Amino acid sequence: MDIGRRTFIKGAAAAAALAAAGLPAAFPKAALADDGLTWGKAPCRFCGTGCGVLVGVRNGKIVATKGDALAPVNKGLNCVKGYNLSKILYGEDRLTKPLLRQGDKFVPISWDKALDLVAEKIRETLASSGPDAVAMFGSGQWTVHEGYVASKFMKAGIGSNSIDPNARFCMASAVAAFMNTFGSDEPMGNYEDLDLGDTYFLWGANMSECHPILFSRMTANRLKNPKVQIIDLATRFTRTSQEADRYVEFQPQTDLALANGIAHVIVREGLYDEAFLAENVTLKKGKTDIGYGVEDKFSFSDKGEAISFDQYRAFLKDYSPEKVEAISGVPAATVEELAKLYADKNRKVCSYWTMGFNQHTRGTWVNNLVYNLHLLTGKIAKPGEGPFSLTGQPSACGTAREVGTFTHRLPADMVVTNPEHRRKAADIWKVPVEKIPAKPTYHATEMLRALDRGDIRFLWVQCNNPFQAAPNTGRFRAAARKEGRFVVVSDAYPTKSTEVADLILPSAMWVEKEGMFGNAERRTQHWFKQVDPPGEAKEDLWQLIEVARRLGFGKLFEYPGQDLHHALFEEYRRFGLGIGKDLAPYEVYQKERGVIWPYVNGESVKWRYNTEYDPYAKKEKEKGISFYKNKKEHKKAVLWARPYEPAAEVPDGDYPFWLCTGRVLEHWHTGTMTRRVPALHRAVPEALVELHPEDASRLGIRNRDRVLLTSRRGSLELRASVGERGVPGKGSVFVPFFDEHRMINDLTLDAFCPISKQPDYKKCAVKVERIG
Amino acid sequence: MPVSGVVVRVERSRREQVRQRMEEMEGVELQPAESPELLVATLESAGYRQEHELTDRIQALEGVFGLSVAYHNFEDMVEA
Repeated sequence: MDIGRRTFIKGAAAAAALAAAGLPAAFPKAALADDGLTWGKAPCRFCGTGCGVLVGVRNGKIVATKGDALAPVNKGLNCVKGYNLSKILYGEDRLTKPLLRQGDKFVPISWDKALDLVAEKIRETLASSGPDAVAMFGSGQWTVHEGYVASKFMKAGIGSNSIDPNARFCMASAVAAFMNTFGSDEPMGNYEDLDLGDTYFLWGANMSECHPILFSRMTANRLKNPKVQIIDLATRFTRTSQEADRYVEFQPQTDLALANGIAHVIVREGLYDEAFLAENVTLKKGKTDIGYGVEDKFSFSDKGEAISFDQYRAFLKDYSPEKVEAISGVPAATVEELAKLYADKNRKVCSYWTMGFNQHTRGTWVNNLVYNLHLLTGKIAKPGEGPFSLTGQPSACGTAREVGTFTHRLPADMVVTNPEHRRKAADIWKVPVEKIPAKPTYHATEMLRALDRGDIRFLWVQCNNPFQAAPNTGRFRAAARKEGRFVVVSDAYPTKSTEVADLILPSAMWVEKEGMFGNAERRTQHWFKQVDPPGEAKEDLWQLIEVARRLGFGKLFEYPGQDLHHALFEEYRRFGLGIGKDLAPYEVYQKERGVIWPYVNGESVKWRYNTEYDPYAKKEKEKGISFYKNKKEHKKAVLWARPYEPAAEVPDGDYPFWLCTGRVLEHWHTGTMTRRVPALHRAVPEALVELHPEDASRLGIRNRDRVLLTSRRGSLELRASVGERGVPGKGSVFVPFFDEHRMINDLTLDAFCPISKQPDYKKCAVKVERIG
Repeated sequence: MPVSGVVVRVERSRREQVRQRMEEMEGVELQPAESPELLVATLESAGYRQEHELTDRIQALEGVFGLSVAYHNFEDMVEA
């Protein structure tokens, strides 16, 4: 590169960084000048934040990226994973041809042969075992189009509800609680709450590492407003704790007690908003002692029972600050202070949470309990005030939840158990209503158990890596290789899941195809294809449609004379129109940096349920809040009395430590993309086990000593990290799950929330031994 | 030779100390930025590895909370 070009690029880099920091740029013209690249917009491929990225292409290759200054989510900044985003396309071992297992090896075959084989195996399974034995393990990383095609393929084509996404592992508890509290999935607020609030409670969310761009918006708010307080409630001291104004540590599982303790003080002191409660809230209790789902074919159905406010007050008596201190370890005085912060009429309060709440055997309950705090205080659905569930995948919301790629769901919050919903879906899909089965089959964990039992005989995995990510995954890897199973895995790279496949299909990824993702703030974002995929790799959508054609239901995906992606989206959009789930016309997404739904009269509704912003709420009343989606509760939200119950597996004399798993900044999920970016791999080359310094000292373990971790399900050797980036509470250890050479999910327990069916990756019992 | 524009989030009380340390690093050019908690810089390196080592060194400085990227050009790495 010549000096002139280099100087020009440096100027553009400086201008972009200054603009993203909100500071005056010394080189404004440089950033706008024609730099000889073709720039296209796309959302980031990694987490659920949905940062906007501009992709610079020359000669068919990505040669530059920049944070999209026009993107409202990230305003020109990307995190360290976003820094290296485009490199995920160019790993040396990209899959470029279909590969068929022959013994212990894989041999290349043609697409025709591969697709014929998939169709043949599906036909065989349908004939021998029926439609429920044909299963699809989908993804919150599928584009909206891919998820929609997969759902239609299974429910309207195969006639099976045996489809569930890996999103079951990351936010099913949030979905269940949104539905049983508000009658509608997804948050009422948006990311502007990060700029407009002044009191932020983070519940089990390491935002600094896992949602760094959102966290930097919160800290930027604090920079301008000295009133801002960030309170980190967690079981592990992290970078988030370090930057927070206050760190409150609680014992694993006791967030249930802590949230109830805060509610206790609010009620005891009369700090609740009586008028808001009377107008907008109904109270209920559900079943208790509900089990943990560790046994195959576990089944549970909750039943709500109306209670009075006095009954709720009596329920909270068990959660006095002193009692909460005894359960959680949080001092009683702190519980009192937190309650007063939540209820302070001069404070705008937001709560954020993610896997700490959702991956929890009482995940639905603990989501309910944080809603209670906002319902009690009336701090909800207003700018800078409200509860907000963060997501971990780029389209957990847009695809898994909104398209409805779960066994029990249809698009736009509809469910297969409702005959009206099935009829609407059948009308739009132009199939007989009897084609869509009325009974859900297998949620994600049970799907893998069913593969082991032989109830599922054909499994197609797309766009995710369940044979590394599932809890107690050793059982399921063995299941995949059992006689009489056929496992197809569509992916961009070899993974622990392709390792157990019978057939591997090479997939196009990110800007190698046209697509849309929906992020955590209800923002749907579109991108065009910008580069070709390598070799013979094809988008997952194409793979599904080609198999549908071979099975005789290709017509479901034929739109003569129309652009396929455009036509698919417009068909999908019909599900949500007029019911508060309105998406915009496709052309709008092509132009805009994402659009928040519902999109009504040409505008996004930024705060749902609030008459000032939401035309649907305005139809219900002149002024205030209307939870209009909760029709069966007379358009009120439900405040649930949910108790503290212990975890499924608690440390004891044999296994004295809690094991918590999660992510680190540099790696995303099972590391199949980030471990192929040399910079990220070098930064964190292996998973370490974090220990509290006092525990380490007691066990004679020093930094980087080799440690054997053992649970009732397996053992794993790791090196120790003591007093470094993350410090778990005393009696706990933390291990990230990105490292395929150190499979921590061989140790985790497949216990789950009986309501949401989401596994608890944060709590099981292990022993820790120094081995060198 | 990748070129990047980055924003570094720092602890207020250590901003000056971080700024000085970054100024001493080869390939780092600090931009005039009036902010108590932010530093803005361009980074130039011989390759990805060196660039990453540079960002690692910055992130490891005491007082640095995080580093975000606004612009990343690596055209001569791809086209070489």
